[in-house]
Amino acid sequence: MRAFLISLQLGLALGAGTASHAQQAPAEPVEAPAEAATEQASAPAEAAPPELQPGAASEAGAIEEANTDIQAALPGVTPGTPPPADEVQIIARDIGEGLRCPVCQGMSVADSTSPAAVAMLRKIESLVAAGYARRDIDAYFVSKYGEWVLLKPTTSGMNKVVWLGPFVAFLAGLALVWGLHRGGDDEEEEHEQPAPGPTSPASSYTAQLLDEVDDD
Amino acid sequence: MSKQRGVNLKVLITGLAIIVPVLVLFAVSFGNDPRAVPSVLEGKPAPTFALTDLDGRSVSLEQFRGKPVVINFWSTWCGPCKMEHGLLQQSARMNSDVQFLGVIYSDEADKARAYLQRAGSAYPSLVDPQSTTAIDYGVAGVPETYFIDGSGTIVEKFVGPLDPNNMQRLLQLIRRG
Repeated sequence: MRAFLISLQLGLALGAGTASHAQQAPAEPVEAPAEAATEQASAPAEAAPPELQPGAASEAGAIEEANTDIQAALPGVTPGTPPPADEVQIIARDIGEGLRCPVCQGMSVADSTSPAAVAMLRKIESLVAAGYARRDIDAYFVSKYGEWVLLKPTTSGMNKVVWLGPFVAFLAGLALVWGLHRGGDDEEEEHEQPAPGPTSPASSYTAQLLDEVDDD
Repeated sequence: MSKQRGVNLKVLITGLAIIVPVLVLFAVSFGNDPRAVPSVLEGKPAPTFALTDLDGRSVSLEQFRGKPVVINFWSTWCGPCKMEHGLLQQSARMNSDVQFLGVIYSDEADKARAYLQRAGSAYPSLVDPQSTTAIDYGVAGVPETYFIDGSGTIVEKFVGPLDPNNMQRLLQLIRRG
């Protein structure tokens, strides 16, 4: 079901992609590192360069930079209480599960080892370590990549079509089948039990019989 | 007879209700260049950054305020990046009123330095540790080139290798801003 919704969202994004600027899917990368290409074939991907390895997000510089970036993108957003250091990676990975890797095909940031995904995961770690909530981090990435980056589409705006469309289509299909079935039954009944009309020989014969019975 | 016609009309309307939107969707989608998908950042202020170039000098976007800027995200493992390299160098030399910047994406500085020594370098190429600037610009792959006007607004994001016509068109756009 989830895969169906995602593919439907992609289809709608493809259709509406160039017609509207409100929600745009980033174009496919012209070229991705060999690691990402390997990953698309579901083979083990080569690890990212050492400077891109996750896990070092607790550095003060990275947190400060993440703070600056999110404040510039989402003015007014304030961080809460940072989680314990040993939970940062767990929370970041959980958030990364819901974000799309930009150079992969249908993989989350948490599942991909491509440099782009690893860099995004590091950024998430920095934002989590700074105390930002999941909704703020999601909003930050949406402000950079569009709603396309969310693996689970939101239920607002045109996305309602994505969520409700399949159910409406299913109900419309049921109504169509029911309507056609009823039409067929009516026709069958008409054929099986033809109502004797006043001019048919059978009806005149019946009328004559009834008259004779009444006379008796 | 009239009943039969009514059922057909229902089927026809239902069929059209399903098929027409699908055809419109396909017509709209296939009529456009998939690489011409605009960025959500277009029309918004360019994210600021302060990076170092391959010679260790600090370069920030802020220092070019008031001047149109072209930022090209590239990598040595990217074939299309090499295809557009010559055009970018030539454009940088011929348009001194525009500041060209390269940002190295997911690559090693030594490889980038060696490539630029061979292929030429007319503008600074910046090292982007952990791709933080690339993420801030919503880069999904390379090459991607951002055209920023003098007020610091992203006018257009170009995905894929640039050609002379698009380069001229976009340079004119950012000069107007």
